[in-house]
Amino acid sequence: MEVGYFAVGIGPTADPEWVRTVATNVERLGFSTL
Amino acid sequence: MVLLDEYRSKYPYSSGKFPAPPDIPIADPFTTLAYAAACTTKIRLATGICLVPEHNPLVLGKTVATVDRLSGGRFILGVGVGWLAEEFAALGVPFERRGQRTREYIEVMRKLWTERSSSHQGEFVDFRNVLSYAKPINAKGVPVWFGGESNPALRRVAEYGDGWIGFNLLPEEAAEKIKRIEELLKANGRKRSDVKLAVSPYTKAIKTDDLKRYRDAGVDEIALLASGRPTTEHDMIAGLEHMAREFVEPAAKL
Repeated sequence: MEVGYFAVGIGPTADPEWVRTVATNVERLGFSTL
Repeated sequence: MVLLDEYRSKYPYSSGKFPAPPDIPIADPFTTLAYAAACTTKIRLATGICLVPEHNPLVLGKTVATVDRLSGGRFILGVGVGWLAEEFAALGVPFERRGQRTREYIEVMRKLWTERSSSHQGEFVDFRNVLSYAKPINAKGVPVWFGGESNPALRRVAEYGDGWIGFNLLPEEAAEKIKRIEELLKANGRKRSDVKLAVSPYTKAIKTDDLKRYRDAGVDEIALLASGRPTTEHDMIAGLEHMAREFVEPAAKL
């Protein structure tokens, strides 16, 4: 089974630095979908 | 698209009100995911969710195809029909028949994604001999996954969806919905393997042991929401690493 990460782009994660941080790290950690 | 300070519509999850201040930043998902695509190379990218009836389908189809190409074919269009009547009023879009409007808009986008030249005459859209390029990476177009747990939402999945995103569901709740989807798939001459089924516990807390229960319920993917509101990059990364240890690594072994 796969695990995705939900809700980037809402609240603080709408800022570009947070989008980059979340995107690169969820990919590094093996999440399936952002 | 927009929120309001005051509204009478009922949010389908939590207490009936949107669980955040109306002035909370909610970024446009397509530009945000295009940016995320540039930061990554392999993770799939999905809207969660796009309210399709609020958009012009020719414009939306082009936007989706573009993000799909920018991401190298990693894009999934997560779709909802909307719940906030006041938002539709502000946009000048009828709230009534939004489900039917969504269905026709998806049909239009699939034509634009897969045909050299497209024509369509329907209740909401009418055009002839339109060319929309560039196309999505996959010749079959971009996968369309529907959100929602109502009977109409589950019918959309079974009748013309490529996947489902269930929200706020624990394993036994997901199992009930998936059983219904499987019944509807069969009634529509489709196979279980024709769709992917994803579930988000949303605000409901789950533990590692729940992964097996989701798997046994028929869930292909769970979508986790960050717990708490990290204020530093260090805390954010630490939270993601904790989620990976608790859920991503065990799920990969199931």
